[in-house]
Amino acid sequence: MSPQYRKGLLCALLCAYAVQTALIYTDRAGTACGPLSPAALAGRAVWQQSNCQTCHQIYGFGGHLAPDLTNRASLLGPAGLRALLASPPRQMPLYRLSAAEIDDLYAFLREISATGVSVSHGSRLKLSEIPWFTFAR
Amino acid sequence: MVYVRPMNLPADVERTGALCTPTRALLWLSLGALGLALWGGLLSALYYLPASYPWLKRLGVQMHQTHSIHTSFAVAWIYLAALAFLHEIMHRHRRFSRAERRRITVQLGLWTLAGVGIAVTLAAKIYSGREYVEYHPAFGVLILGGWALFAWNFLLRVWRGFWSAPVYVFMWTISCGLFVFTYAEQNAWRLLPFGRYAVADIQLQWKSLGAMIGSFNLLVYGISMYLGERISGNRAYAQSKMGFALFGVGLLNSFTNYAHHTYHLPQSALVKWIAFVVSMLEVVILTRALFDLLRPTGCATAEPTPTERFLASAKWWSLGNLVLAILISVPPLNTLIHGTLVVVAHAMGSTIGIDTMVLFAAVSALLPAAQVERWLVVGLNLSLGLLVAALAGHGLVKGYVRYLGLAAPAWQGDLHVLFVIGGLCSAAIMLVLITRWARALRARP
Repeated sequence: MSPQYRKGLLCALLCAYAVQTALIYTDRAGTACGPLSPAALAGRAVWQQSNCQTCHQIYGFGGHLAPDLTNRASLLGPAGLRALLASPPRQMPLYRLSAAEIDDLYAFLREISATGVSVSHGSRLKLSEIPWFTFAR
Repeated sequence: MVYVRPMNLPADVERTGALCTPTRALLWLSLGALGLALWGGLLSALYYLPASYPWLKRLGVQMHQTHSIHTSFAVAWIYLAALAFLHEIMHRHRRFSRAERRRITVQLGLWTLAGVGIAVTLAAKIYSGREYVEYHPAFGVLILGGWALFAWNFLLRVWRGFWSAPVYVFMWTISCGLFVFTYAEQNAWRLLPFGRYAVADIQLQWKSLGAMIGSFNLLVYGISMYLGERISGNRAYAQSKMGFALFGVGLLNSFTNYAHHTYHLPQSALVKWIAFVVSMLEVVILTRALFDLLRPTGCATAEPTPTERFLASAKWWSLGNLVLAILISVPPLNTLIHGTLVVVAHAMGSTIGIDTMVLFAAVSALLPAAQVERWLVVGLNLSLGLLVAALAGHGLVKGYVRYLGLAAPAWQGDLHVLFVIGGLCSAAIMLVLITRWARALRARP
């Protein structure tokens, strides 16, 4: 393959990467729900420091040992989360979080829940919900 | 499958004498990383079994420690082993100058420090909490610093005559740049405003992860092409239009294909469509791979070498993983398996079945004195097959019952036992290989 073709191929590929990068950085859908509140940001820091994503998922991303928590905040409630952390079931480790940290973590999960519905949330998928030739979800 | 007797690589190694010091150091580091990855992976797998996790918990061993160690050092193994091979090629191309040796010393020092630090801090439960980059970002600075020194040495050698170089040189060169860019991007959420948006943060996290995986895949595919060229004696392929075309399709997939994991994020449909269309281009690669696999390669004159066995294994795993990746990219199927162990099957099948097999071929070529019998390679493939099949089976069952709105069947948990058995056997064989290579490395001048 001649050097000119190689230069053209590489330029085209790098342009494709630049376009893909621009699409992601300018995607309004990703910021449609507004920024996380300060409490939720603090809660995300708790989530990260505790490495919860090793076992749990958000939007199906993360570990596979424990449930997807994207839409679990309303089911749990703040008291439910506190009880779970104080008495963890099965493989879950004991986290000694302060009351403020638990409240922040709950705020994070609640605001995540408001951004959309995870396909891994466990309830029945209707045939009409499966995107056959469109990305409706 | 018939094989052509390799002509160059083992003979080159014997003729040119000792492996260079950077290669030896990187091989030691890579084997150490692989050992840590295996240990972390085994303990993480045991966490899935009701019989074993209670005593792990009592011992204070947590999944978030072991899994983080496993993923961090699995990635480290791939990069370090690939760079060990690359340094040997660089050394044979032209001996390292004093300035290059100084840079390599600093590079290895930074990475050793990072590796020890990451192992200690992950065990001490100090995390970044970001998937696949779970260690503290300070270590990222050390890793990037070492990488910049490697890129400096490498690019200085390839820039002259770059546009006439074989395609694997292009792959390695792009890998240099991609790693820096994506590694920086993975930490961009700390500084840029979109880091405060939950969905945008996940989008960018997966974009940068996908391209980072593309970066190490480029290193590995380039090595695979280099080894294939040496074994077949056909140097024309790496300069051909087909070689570059496949490189182009592969690179495009690296840039965009990660998005088949993010179909279900609330994001622009255009990004998803690009991922879907480019993923379907992989059918081109699949067709070519089938053609290459089924084409007769000549008469067997001798027993295949370990390098050839591992490369042949990687070819079959590439085929299988390509099929899986294409299926995952089809939206209705993606909906069923998203967030299930099918994704882990895809990840393990690729990183072990393709990347690690090619790197085992490369290490075998560098250390031909190490005994690698046929049963080791066959056993590794079978146990890995069991591991991947059990993970995929579990995920398919989960996806199917989710679709039906039923509870998971009682026997689904039994698939964990199969995946642990597959993992244990794979790890045991890899430990045998590590031991043999370590012995050969110690004995080899």
